[in-house]
Amino acid sequence: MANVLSHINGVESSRIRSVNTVQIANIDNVIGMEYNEPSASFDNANAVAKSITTGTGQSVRIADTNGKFNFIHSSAYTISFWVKAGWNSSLNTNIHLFSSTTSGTTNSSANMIRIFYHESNNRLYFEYRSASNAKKSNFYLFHANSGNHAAAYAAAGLGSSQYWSSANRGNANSAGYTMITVTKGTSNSAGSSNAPMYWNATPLGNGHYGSNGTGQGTPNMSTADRQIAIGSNSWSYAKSGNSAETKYNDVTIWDKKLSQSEITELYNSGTPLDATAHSASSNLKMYYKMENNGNDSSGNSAPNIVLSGNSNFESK
Amino acid sequence: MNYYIVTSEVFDELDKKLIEFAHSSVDGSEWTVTTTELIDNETLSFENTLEISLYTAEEGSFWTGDNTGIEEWELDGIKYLNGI
Repeated sequence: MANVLSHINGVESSRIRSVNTVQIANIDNVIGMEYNEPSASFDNANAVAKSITTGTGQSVRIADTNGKFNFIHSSAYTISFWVKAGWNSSLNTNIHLFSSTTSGTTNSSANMIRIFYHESNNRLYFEYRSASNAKKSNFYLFHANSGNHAAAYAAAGLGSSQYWSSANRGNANSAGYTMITVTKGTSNSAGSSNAPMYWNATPLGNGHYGSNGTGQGTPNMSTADRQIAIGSNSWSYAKSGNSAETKYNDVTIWDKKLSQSEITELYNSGTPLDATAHSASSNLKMYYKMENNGNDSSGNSAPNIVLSGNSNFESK
Repeated sequence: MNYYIVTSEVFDELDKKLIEFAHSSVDGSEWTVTTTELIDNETLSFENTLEISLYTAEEGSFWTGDNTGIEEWELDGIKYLNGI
């Protein structure tokens, strides 16, 4: 292990640009002491809080106009985000955590890709559609420790008597966040063999409909530009929870089906990391750190997040 | 398919194997049900999923905790599973 040069004449090395006109990054050692370039800083103090009020005027959304999010039924991709439940056990409906549909549409089936939690039944769904009769889905049930549901029961840690809510966040990090991930391969299927889901990088198993999932017809999506909503659906900007705002952080979208080890790396033992330093960062297409702005940090010039109404960036 | 709103007492007597979708009101007193079973003691019956969705949206706070009611896609997409 090399020694790290932390100070030069009492000044922190991170504050020094050069020594005698030599850039600090080019200095390997001073009087035999090796110098390591300080890691790029990664602030993770904030998140976005989605207003529980519905409608476009309260949304957290991304209007993709440059084809950064144009995944179709045969695309491989990964969607991952951290979520801190704000809803309570009286929600008695679903909350959309991530949703995308064709730009400008109010049609819930138009090139739709979504991840939603159905509080009424304690189920986490992944679904995509090209039409109301052309859709694929699977869901993961959290309160039954048996059969296809046992893996999700163990991964989430919500227990058998209470559903997922702000009073029962299950396995979460010290700030109350859970990393939810779906990774899809190129097959036209939402089953667990092609599109597994993860809770804090732990696989949720086969899901109710198993390795092949379920569906109707054969989705045939187009590459049309999409509108993406965080914390609501993307066609009416409803289904945002109740009681208190749900918070979202570090949303990443990748153009490959991340492997188990890559998802574990992203989870980083519960401490969000800078995804641009991830080993698969060349596949990172969109990245939203939510550090008091909606800027994309992927380096791909993806569109920014736009907040409306009472949705806001705040302390995580 | 038949589209009903029934009381919890009527719901308890329905053949659960024939139910496609079921959603209770927030207070648990009534259920929205789609089923192949024909019944004659319903509270309300509807022509299709759109009609039942519009009805619950008008009484959103009675049916859902976010006051939005039941969306039409839910009636087609959230499968009722007896016991879970």
